[in-house]
Amino acid sequence: MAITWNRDRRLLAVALALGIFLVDVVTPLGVASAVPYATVILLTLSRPQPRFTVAMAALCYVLTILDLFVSVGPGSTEYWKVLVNRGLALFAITVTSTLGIQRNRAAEESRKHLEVLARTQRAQTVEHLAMAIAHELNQPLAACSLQAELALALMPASMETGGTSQRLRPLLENVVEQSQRASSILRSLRELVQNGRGERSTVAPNELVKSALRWFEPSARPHRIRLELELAQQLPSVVGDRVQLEQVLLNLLQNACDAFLSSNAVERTITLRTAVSMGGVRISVSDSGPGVSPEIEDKLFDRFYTTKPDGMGIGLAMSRSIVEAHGGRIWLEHATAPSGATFTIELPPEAPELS
Amino acid sequence: MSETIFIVDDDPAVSHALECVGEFMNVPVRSFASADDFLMSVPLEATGCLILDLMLEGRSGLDLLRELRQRTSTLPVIVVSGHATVSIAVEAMQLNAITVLEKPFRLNDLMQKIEFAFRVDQSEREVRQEREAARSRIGQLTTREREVLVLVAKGFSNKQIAAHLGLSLRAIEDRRARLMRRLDSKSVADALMLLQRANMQPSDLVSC
Repeated sequence: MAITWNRDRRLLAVALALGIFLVDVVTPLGVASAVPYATVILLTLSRPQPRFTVAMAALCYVLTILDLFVSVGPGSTEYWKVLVNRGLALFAITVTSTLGIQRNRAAEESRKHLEVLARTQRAQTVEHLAMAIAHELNQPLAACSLQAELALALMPASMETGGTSQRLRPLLENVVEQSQRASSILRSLRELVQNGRGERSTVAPNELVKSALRWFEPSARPHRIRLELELAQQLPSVVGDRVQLEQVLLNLLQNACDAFLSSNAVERTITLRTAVSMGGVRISVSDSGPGVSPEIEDKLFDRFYTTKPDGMGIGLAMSRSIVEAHGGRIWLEHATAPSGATFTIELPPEAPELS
Repeated sequence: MSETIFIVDDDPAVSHALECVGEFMNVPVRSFASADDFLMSVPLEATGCLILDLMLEGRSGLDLLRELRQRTSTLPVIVVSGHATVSIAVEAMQLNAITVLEKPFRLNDLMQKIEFAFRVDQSEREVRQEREAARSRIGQLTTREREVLVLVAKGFSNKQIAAHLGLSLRAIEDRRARLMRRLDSKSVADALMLLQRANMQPSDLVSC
């Protein structure tokens, strides 16, 4: 369907261009064909690739100039008037196609960025799930191994060969061994996931906030959310993975946005603040939404806990594990304002030199 | 005072297994599912050791450890963790943790660490008791006796002290004998040892 639609459009554009030319030739009006030809160019802009637009612009050029020769001869008194007229038409075609192509290129670029971001997010979610499962499974394995060892320790050291305890011993030893083995498999899985990420560099907190905001702005705009910045000057830098930290901020921003949408809030303001603190640098995200009810406050950062119909309960848990991997903390500020929620991240400052 | 193994772990299976270890070692066990539960029900001067999981729901294990040290508790802590990062392990050790054990730990490792923790706790308690005893003895001295003790500690002879304070040699000798009796010390070395045990400098004497 999409292909035919595109082809139809192309045919339509060509037909329109020729139609305008015919009208121009047939009527002795010497009309400025600038505006109709601009429409032809606009029609071609639905395709992201500029090739067809350029081709059509060229065709319009040719037709415009051709018409000059066909409709009026060089000797005519109208000649100069028509010449200026055609010049304006050429100018309009050029401007329309250049602007259109530029706009298309910008849109394409932003779509690609969003795609990369979505892919990173997906990859991180999978990584986080793997880590979570590895952690959850390790607990019962630890209990299992420990209790089997206890059973071994409690077993009477019977001398008689072929006695019950003599036969039980190797079985229990195997339980211990296999739980240790399973756990070491999980450990290597975790290491595999961890090795694939975590590029550390010096990050300026204010830059981090600004860049997260740049990413978030396009999705906030249609919901008429006002974004405010209160940045402290002369903040110490932090060390970490820029993409991951940005992801944490984006998660918090997205949560704020979801809170507005699910509550149909009228007043929609998100404020991002940075500040120096005892523990280093604090970055907080405050929204003017309905806030977090006390019943769910304790479970907010738990894995697989969610209040959203299509949520997985990964966002805040993942944010917490990222922040903690950076030696920082994340928490929900106890509300002082009448409404809204404030999440704060604290990250340690870049150490001068860690031995 | 009986030694107890305190457990803070939010996984009931692990918690139960640890309780079994305590039972096996014939040591009373008390387990808690969260940092706050522990802080609310266990007094600061509790004796024994704490087996602390790092990954807790709510306040983290490291938070609890920090809080304990801030409240000047010296309770030995064995940190256990599913996957401890180096930085977390370093911080735990800086907060005076006995060790960081990675799950799943072996029974023998765990029991060795628990016994070690008990010994650490015991000696910590003895040091504290000695310090309290020494401090209370020193506390019995009068201001004048303290004056003399400071000068004795600095190595002055009785004659020099008499000249310094503008008193007779006889008065200084009396005062010195009295203060040695009060400190239950036979020699200057004994008295100085007492000061050291009380963790005090001679200069602290005048102020207190």
